[in-house]
Amino acid sequence: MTNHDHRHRHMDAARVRAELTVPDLWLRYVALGGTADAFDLDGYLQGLVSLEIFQQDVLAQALNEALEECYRANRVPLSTRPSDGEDDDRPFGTEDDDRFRSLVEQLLRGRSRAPRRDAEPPGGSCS
Amino acid sequence: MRDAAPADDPTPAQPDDLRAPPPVDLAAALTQMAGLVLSRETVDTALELVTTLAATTTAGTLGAAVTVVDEHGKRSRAASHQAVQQADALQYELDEGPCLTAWRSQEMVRIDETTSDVRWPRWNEAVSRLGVRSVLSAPLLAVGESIGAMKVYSVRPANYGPHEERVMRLLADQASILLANSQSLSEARRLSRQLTEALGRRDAIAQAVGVLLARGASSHQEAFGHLAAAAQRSHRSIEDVARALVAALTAGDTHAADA
Repeated sequence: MTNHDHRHRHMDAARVRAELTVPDLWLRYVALGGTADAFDLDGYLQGLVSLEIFQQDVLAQALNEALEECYRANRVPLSTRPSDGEDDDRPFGTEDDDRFRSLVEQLLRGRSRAPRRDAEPPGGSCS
Repeated sequence: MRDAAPADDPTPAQPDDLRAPPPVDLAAALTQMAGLVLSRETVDTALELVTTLAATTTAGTLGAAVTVVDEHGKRSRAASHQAVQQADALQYELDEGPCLTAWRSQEMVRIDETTSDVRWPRWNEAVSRLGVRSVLSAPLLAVGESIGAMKVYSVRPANYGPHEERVMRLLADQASILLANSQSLSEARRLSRQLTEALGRRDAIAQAVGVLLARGASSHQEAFGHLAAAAQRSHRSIEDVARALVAALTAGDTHAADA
């Protein structure tokens, strides 16, 4: 449980690192289907109120996506572009079209239903 | 439907899991915005009332207006006379003049004679040709921040004194309140746009969750977990995965199901 006790601090640190205000983060969280209101979210990040585990996971996903965008936005491009298909400097979510398509089809067929891992704690990827 | 809920899953979907997630409380926010939108005309009308009051309560005034400075630049509102609009336009064009100084310094500015005042030589010369000889400009302050200035122009030299300064200070306070109100309106518009976008993304994800539930995911949480896992594996956003899933379903359902 210690992990969950400190999760809100971890999340708030990630929010600061991704340069999001609490209202910005709330909008991203709502966009992913989160249902807690902005006050509860603020309270949770400050350790004042609890949030259902699933809502925490939605919030973690919102933070991870923001961190990823922040990380990609800060990458320094090389003077020579890598050959096609190996370019890691493209904006978030444009690489590996074929792999992505087959992943989506697996998801539709229910074959990629690996047991769910604990949502990865956010933070650390945007430094 | 292949691959329904895994047989080893001991807990079938509870009715609770299938219940729609509680709606976000947007109603209050939207109602509040509607109120602000309606008040837009009110703000303009009231602002005109204040500048008209300024023009009529300071004897010898040719016209009055409000200069607003925000992220869209500098512009005049509720000008009560065409010459006022021209004199204001000259300030913005030359980037000098009493109202810009009042706005920047947050202090009242008075010109007693434009033909001899040396503080804004280019502007003074230009407006004296329009017939403007004296000016009084009061800063507009909202929560300590300068948001513009309100001014009166006169064709008579030395038309304004301490009495007019007091009147202008009072009226400028009213204009500030009105303007702060209309600036919160543009803030509300921005929020409304962001909320609409957020709802669009939320719809896409909810549809994909629905698809996965129909294909055997045991709960909303589990379906979301699948989407999140796929997003993580493909380095995409969950929205991208959700949209691709729904697109794949509608475009090539038979192909996907047979594969």
